[in-house]
Amino acid sequence: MQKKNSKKINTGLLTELALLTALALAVYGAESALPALLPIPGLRLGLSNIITLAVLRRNGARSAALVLTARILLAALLFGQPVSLLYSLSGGFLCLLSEILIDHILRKNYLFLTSAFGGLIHNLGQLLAARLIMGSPAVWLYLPYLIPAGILTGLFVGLCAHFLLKLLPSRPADSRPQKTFKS
Amino acid sequence: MKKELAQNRTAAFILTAFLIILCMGSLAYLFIRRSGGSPDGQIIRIYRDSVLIEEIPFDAIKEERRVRYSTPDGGYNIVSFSPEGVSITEASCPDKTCIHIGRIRDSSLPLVCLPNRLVITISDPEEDSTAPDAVSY
Repeated sequence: MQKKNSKKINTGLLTELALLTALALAVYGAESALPALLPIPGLRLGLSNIITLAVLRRNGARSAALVLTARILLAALLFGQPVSLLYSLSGGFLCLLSEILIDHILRKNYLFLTSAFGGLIHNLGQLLAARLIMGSPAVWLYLPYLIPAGILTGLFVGLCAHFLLKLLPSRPADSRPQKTFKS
Repeated sequence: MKKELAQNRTAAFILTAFLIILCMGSLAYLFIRRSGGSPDGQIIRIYRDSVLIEEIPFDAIKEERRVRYSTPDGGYNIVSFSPEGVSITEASCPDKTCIHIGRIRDSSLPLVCLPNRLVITISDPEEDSTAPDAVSY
């Protein structure tokens, strides 16, 4: 019974994840209104990854994947063009996978390293998508710009996620079975 | 516990070193590549959706002219060709990154418009390294 319960999302967790998804979406919208810092295609601060990273730390990989999927689909619906969905999906999920891996290797220490790798892999994923969509190897010429950019934005995202985790209420709504009341 | 912490620190050190090397490598590469050659004798190639749609020898451009490239789904880019270089002057996309890249004169950087899937490169006539390969089909 207990095992079955732990696979379920309880109402507390659902509400928290929904709230964080809305926050990620708002951040994404605000960021897309900002002008680009450098004229490099695909270069962004990636501020909505702050939320993904924080959820990964607080609620685990499964919750982070849920929030990321919801955020990407809703963002494409609200702000994006259909093409940008492909870039977001490949970048976002490769980023999350690498963050899960690095976070596991570092045993949940050194959050900034996890996010720096996340930023790096995010840009590589987007460039890979661009390579497949555009079909031109010429896009690889942007790689030397996107590697340092990904690491730097990743470090910034990690810093923000660190403070976000401090600000969020200390006891996360998790998937542990909670006291149930019989009606 | 202590051993675990030390292992952890080693892993963190290796990962940090990896990132720094990668960063340095990219910056060094950018620094070396800076020296672009003269565009004379080069070919401007325009691709959309991995298909070569136009080839223009750079020498054939004597004065500025603007060409509109439209996508089937209503997007467009207006490309300016001039003896000084190639640039995108107008685009239907919201981010306008392709316009901000500015004018290109050599093979160091292509003009790319992600939303309209347009790639413009300048390269040697024989070396068609930017041609789409079998993987993209």
